[in-house]
Amino acid sequence: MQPSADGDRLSGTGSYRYVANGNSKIVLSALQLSAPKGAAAATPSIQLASLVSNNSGSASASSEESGGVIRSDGAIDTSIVENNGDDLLTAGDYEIEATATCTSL
Amino acid sequence: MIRAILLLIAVLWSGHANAQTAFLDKREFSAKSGRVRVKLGVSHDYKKSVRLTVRLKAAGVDDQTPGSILTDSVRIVPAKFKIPRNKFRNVLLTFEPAISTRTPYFVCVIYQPVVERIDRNGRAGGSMLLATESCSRFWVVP
Repeated sequence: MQPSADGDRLSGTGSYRYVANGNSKIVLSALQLSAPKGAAAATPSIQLASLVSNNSGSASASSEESGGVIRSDGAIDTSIVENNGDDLLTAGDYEIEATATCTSL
Repeated sequence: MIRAILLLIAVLWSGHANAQTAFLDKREFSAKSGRVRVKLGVSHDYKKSVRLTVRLKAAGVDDQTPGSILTDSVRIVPAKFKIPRNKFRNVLLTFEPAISTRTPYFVCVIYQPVVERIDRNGRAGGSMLLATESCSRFWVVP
C-alpha cells in the first residue's frame, strides 16, 4: 500500500494489533515533522483507533492504563495537512516520524 | 514469578501486522551488590528476520512512563541483533544504579520498520514512519 496525496493532505493508513496480559499502557511520542522549505505550517497527526492519538510536535500522548488480558485490533491513520488555504501541498518532501511505546507495568 | 506478555503491532502502509516482545521473569531486583543483573528474552513474529535494539530507560513524567535512555554503567549483551521470526534471544542487562529508594526502570525493545516513500516527480511527497517499542517495567531496591 502506498501513501497518498490529496489536496493539502498527505495520508497513510495501516493497522495495529495490541496484545497484553496484565497492566499496560501506550504512549505515542511527539511527532517529528519536516516539510519543504517555504511551505506553510503543517499539522501532523497519527491515530491508533480506540487507543491513542497525537497531533503535537512537542508533547506525547498516553492511553489510559489497562488491566487484564487485552487483544485489540484497529486502524492506524496518519496525515500531514498543510495550512495554506490553497488546498495544495507545497512541492517537496514531507516526513513524519513517531514511536508507539507499549509498557508492561 | 511474573511473566508478562506485551505486544504492540503497528505497521504503516505495508498491510502486515507484526510484533516484538520482551519477557522478564522477575520484576524486582536488588542493587545491594552495587550491580543489577536483569535477564530478559526477546522474540518477534515479523515475517522475516528483523533487527531489534534493546535499551534501558529511566522513568519519565511518572513511574508508568519510560523516559530518557540510560547509558552510564549500562551493559547490554547483545544490544542489537537480528533474529528470525518466533526465535527467542536471551539478553543480559547489567548496570550500577545510584539509588537510595526503590526505583522504577524500563527495559525496551524497539523495531524501526523500513521507510516507505511516495515520490511524485517534483510534487509533494515523502514518508511516514511509526516505530514500535515494547517496554517492561522493573523495580530496583537499594
